[in-house]
Amino acid sequence: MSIGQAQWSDLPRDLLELIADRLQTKTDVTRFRSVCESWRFSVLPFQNRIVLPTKVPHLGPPHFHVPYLGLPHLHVPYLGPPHLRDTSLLLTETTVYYLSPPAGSISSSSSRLWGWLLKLKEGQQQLGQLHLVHPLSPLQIHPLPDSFPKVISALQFRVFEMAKSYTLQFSNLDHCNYKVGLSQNPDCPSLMIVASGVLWHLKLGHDRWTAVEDTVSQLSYEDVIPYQGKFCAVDEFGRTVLFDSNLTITEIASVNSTLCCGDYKNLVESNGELLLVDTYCTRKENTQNGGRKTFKAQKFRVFKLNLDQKRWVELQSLDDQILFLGEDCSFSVSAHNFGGCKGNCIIYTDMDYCFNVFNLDDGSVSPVTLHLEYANIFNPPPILTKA
Amino acid sequence: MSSSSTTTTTTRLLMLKASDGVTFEVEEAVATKLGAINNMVEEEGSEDLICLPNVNGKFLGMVLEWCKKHANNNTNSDKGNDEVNKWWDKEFVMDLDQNTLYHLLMAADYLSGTELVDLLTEKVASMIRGKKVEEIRETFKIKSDFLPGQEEEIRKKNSWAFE
Repeated sequence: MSIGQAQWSDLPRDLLELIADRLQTKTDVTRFRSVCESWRFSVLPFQNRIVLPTKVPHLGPPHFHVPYLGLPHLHVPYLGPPHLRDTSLLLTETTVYYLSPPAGSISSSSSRLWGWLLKLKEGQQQLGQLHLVHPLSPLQIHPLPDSFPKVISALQFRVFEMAKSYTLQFSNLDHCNYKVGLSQNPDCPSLMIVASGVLWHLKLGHDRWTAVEDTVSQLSYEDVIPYQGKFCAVDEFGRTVLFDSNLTITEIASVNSTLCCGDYKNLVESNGELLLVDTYCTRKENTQNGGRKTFKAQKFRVFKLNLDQKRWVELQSLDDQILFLGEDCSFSVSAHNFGGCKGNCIIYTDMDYCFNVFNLDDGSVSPVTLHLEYANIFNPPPILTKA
Repeated sequence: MSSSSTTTTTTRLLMLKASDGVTFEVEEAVATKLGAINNMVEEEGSEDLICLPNVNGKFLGMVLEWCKKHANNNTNSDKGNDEVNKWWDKEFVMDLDQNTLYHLLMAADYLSGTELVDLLTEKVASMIRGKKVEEIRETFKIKSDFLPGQEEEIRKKNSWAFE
């Protein structure tokens, strides 16, 4: 047999299947199937490894199960308006996409050619219909800004999935302010949430939530994320634990005195590393808001897990990474993908949903209106907004 | 022409003959990392010359190079082995052009080198992830053979419409 030219379109079906199995995201599988006939018919359309239910049981009685007595009344989570307590909660998935112009597409025009981020929720009614979602909260942006394109031909861009977030809504569509983690472990797909300091676990398909038994941190959990096939949760003192699918608990970082001062803790997986962001807030009485207290983030400290020593070690720099601290999910991106942006900063929102930039170099906080290069991260490039 | 292989006299040597007549003398322990050869050795027992009419010498050589590395590294049961293998695999696939990658993948598949197929399909996947359809076609020199109607449907499937 002589060495002919490669005939990728004639690759045996089992090899095409093996390749497609490794693609993991819906975007990549859809694109794989759009290359040619044989690739299309060798591979089935993308299916999630687990089928996500759109509804899950409500957290309230009789669906929740408290395995021991003495859970103070104070820590029963907010269950939504009384008339909705018998209905299911809606589970929604949103995806943060990074769209980049393809290499070599440098045109003569001076239009922006770097990437942008887009957070989208797929519509329930019709396939392909999407909702734009606030990058750092689960809120839908509706109506779309005038300049925003109604249809984006995604084929123009390279598309990468940067993060997924899951949120629960009451049946009146109000968001429950529980932090939600989803484990896609095929043996035991499940949700874990933090509600009023308590961790709750629900195996998908089961009809009741179980409060996680852990006498050390039980009432003070602040965040939970899926991590390496398990759930990782942190309490207000920085104690960090992993739960496997049987809810067996493993402490991976113990209480740390430097972590007792912050007001709120977020876990973020960044470049494969587990990070903890400790937020320090100032509280002030807001006279315009009926005297309600508002919290304003003032300072952040970032820690990296040292697994051998079971402790969090403070990071002096995030290097090239821009970290997005969201209500529903946090993630990081590399600054060099976004023109004019520098890394080593945290983008977050206060209660007004405007973006702020915290610079780890000098500890300064500034509104994103003073740093349009960061605001542009979420704006479609001009080629799309030109009518 | 035969590849040099440093062996002690106690290990059995197999002679593998590629489609273009090129032969390779390899230790049995190395060649049996390939499922197809392992089967032939078990079935045919005493036969020392194995003909492989579907694999060109150039790619058989590359496949055997990979087997040799992995066989060597696996004999030392030290903890850093996985790391060494990973590093070496990375080097092995790093600069493969699409033509070589294709023939190597076909050869690995024909010879049932499961681990090598895993490595090469991962390399192919890494060349696809994130890319635009046009870029994928360009990378793998594939011409679209869809009918115009199908193309239109694909464009629709790949666009995002907002409610």
